[in-house]
Amino acid sequence: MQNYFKTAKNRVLVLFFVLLTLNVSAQEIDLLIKGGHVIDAKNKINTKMDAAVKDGKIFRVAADIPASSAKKTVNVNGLYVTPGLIDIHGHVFHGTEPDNYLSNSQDALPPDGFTFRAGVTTVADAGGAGWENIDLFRKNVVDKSKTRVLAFMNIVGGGMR
Amino acid sequence: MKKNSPILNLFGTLILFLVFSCPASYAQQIDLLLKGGQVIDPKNKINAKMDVAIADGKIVQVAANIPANSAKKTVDVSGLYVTPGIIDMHVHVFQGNDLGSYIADGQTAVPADAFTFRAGVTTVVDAGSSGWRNFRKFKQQNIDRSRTRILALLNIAGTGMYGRFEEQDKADFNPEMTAYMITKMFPKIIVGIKSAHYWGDFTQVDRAVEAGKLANVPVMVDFGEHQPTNSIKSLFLEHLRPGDIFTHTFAYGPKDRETVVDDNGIVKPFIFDAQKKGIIFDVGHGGGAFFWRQAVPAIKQGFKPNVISTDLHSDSMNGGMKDMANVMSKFLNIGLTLEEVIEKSTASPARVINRPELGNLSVGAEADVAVFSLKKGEFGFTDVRRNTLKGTQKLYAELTIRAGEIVWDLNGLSGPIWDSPQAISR
Repeated sequence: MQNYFKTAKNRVLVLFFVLLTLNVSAQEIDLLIKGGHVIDAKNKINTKMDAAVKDGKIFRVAADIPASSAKKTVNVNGLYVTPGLIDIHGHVFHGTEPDNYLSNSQDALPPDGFTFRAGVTTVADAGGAGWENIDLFRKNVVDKSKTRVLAFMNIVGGGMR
Repeated sequence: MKKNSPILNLFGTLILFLVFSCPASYAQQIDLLLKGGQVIDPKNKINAKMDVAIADGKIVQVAANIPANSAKKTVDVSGLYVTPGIIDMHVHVFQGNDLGSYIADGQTAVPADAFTFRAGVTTVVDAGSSGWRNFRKFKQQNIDRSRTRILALLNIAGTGMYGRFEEQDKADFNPEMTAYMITKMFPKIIVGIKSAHYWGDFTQVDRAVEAGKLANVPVMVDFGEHQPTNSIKSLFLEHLRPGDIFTHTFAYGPKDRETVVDDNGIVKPFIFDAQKKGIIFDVGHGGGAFFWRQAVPAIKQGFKPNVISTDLHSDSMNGGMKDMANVMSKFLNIGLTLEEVIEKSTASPARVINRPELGNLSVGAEADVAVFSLKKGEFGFTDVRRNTLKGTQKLYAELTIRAGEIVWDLNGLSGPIWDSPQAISR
């Protein structure tokens, strides 16, 4: 193997393959959110940084991540980049029971129409469901929503009927 | 009963008191005065700085300089546009939790009030979510419980938009039952018929038109999903009547839906003929039916839709569509005037669905009013493939009034300042 690197031709070949590998890893980021001001309170970040996403996860948060390393780059200059917002008090146990209040009823609303347009990615339903109907809540709302839906379960079995 | 009973005397005094106190109350007969805005009311050919006065849920006066002291409440709308409440002629609001269903009583439909008022919309037309078999459930469950005025097109398929599969069942396209449901049962709510999602020939359209003739109402056609495509020229010139509606005008699904603009970016000549004949072209933006590559060249070449609408449902709400004000803004940014955009979202749809009392600010009309700001700046608008068109102006619904009641107030225009003497203290 050592001999292999001695010829100039083979050295070029190795360099070529190394570069090829770099080129592959050059596009390893799926989505690069570039040029924004990152506010990530938990990690005590409040500065201009780029955020890289790969396989649905945060992959890197750093200054000046090169755009060439990403399949897609979105320029967010002048904008604030934060974790997806969490709204811990919503009522999303929507349904059609005519006389119910916030449990399987129309006073509660399907989350996806309200969350994403306000930057929210996680919502906690505040007691719409109790132990008697939380499985219906899971079936009709949690499993069917693109928003991450969590719940405070009501101490009353029927929730906020 | 004795003539001089003390009760009658008291009653008489009360009447006298009321008569004499009349001039005072007369001075404040207006409940709500929208003052200083630019009124655009295309049906009444108004585009001028005027005030709009509302009393008892109706429009009572539209004129310049109506004095504020004649109104119980005045809202300063200087610098804003005052229009009739917007009509969104294509939505899906038969929302429910039948998890086996697509739109009829299903989760792809959305609750109307959550999307209408914040976009200036006061009337929607549900486009065929229900058919004659399940319209009554729709009425009871959604229409009767919404503050938005919900009208409907009845699907020619009896089960409405339960699923694509059910929408193929020729045995369930019943013109007679469909027409009866309209003429005998719900003539005030059902304003037309819908044909959609059919995989076959012209059968479904023809049955819908047959029902339309029986009930004397227009038919709206979503003419996609035929492979190979069916001819829209034939649809317009041989199957539909003047007044019938072609929706998803700016769709681009060349494999299963013939397009209005050809591959060279030219509007097909027969499209103009069809519009002249009276075919109504509806936007019906939706989650898959609005492409810049169709809309931009069409508008440039002078082909404008008759009606602007959203095709609101859960697969369109978070995409390029967003809401009615956004869809209206798109047309503003590709060459329509503000007056045209308002006309195509008020008077025009009212005419198409034969509800001339809607979509205008005529004295006596139910006071459905929208107040918009038109912001200038850098905006972007996406189509259903998320291609972006850069724009310079965008409409925001500042205030929406339904039957005289303020149902949406984006920036608190109508409220007293919280720590002022006028603040509501309870």
